Amino acid sequence: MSVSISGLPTNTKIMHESQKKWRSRAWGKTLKKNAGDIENLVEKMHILSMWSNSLQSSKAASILISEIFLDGYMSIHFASWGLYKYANICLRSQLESTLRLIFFSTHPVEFQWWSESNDWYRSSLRNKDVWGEGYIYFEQLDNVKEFERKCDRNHMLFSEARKVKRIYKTLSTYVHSGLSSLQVRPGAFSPRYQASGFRKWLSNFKEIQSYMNILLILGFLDEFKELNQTNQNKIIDTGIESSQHKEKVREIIGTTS
Amino acid sequence: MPNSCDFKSQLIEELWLPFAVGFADVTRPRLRKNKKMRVLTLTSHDCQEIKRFEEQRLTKREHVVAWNHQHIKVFRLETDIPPAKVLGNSRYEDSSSSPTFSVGQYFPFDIANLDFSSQDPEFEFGRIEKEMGSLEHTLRLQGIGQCNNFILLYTTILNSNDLSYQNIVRNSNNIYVPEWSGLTLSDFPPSIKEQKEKMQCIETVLPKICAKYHYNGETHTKHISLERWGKDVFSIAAIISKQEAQSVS
Repeated sequence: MSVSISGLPTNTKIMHESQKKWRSRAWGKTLKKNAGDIENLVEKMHILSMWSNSLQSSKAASILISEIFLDGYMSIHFASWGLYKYANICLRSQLESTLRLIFFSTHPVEFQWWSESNDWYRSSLRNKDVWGEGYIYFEQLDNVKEFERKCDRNHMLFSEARKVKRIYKTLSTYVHSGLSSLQVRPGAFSPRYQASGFRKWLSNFKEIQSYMNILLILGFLDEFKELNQTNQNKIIDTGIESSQHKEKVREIIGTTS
Repeated sequence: MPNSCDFKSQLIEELWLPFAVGFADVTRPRLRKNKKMRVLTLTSHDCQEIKRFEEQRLTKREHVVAWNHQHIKVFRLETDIPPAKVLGNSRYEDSSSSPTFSVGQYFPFDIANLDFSSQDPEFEFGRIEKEMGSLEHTLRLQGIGQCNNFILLYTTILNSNDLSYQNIVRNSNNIYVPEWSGLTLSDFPPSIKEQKEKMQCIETVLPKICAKYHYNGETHTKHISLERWGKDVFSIAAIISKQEAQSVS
């Protein structure tokens, strides 16, 4: 639907005309320099369709996996438009939704409360999110414990290296507009392609997808084992970054790479 | 493996469209500007068939339910063909038997296009058997929706995997319908290797499954060889019509 420019109010007209330019300029430059990276990321997003199919009987999954996908997909869009701050905010949302999904898979009552916008966890328990304080809940899960036992210190998700906590903290600086995470840069007020911003976001994106897939495998191990070998390999090989994480996940599911 | 978009146009022009237009002209002769056919279509981001059906005035987008299991294609389809309803987030053949099947509320359809070639199929054993199971569920839902006649299009990709006729029979016979004696195991060998025999099997089984739900099925087929990839595209178009009720003596 094309917009009739002449009929727009003044400020809206200014905004409309400028957004057409900065969006297409940033998009074009991003694709010119990074089309291969973008393709790689979209391939990672395809994995969520496999999870969606596998977990289709779960109401929580049917709601949250679509949201996790859209957060990731919009993150790519925002980054391609030079909106790195907002692209990173989407990644934090992806991680939170994944953690919630795993929690809700064994807490249907809490899922129902959450669906009804009941914030019992905040008001009565004073927790930031549904799963309780910190990441204690996830650290207690048998599959997670086993995974952590197998990993060396530098690769643990919740203990020692605390990979999940660290990336969450990094992404939170974008949510809370930390100085190093501001959208505005000296001499760059309007959104534009910036190689350093893109690279930083790209690294965060890959890290988040990786932890998401590890946590989904550990949280839904039975469902994952029912997938055919091709899909299992695709999720592990495309969805997880670190070789050690891939290896340890394979050990847990009882296959060799 | 070529993109399904590459060979789909041939299927549309040489099989699907002529069938659909012929059916619409007979069943809705007075509707000229828009035959208002309700369409279910398993499609990819190209949605060629939806556009061609529209051009031929068989339908308009508000009467179309499109399905793809990949989020990125659902997103693209929603962007390209509003106000068509776009559903998915799971494979059709994996969800059609579920009581919470999301398409269920939209039945019945005048055209049901089960084009599995557009769904990025996984070439694992049991794939076609599952597809045929979902074809039966589609017929069942059409029956529940009291649809008297419609077009059924089924398209699949035949690869080197054997087709298990035994599993097709078992899957179908597991869906109980009163007074239905079941598919016969002796019609085909338990496991079928030859492509031509696979096509024959599908073409033979379809009318029998239709009869299970008190439908007659009149079929035409089209085969496209993807020799370079060692595969074949097999498409079957059927006019499905309700069997006339037996008179009580």
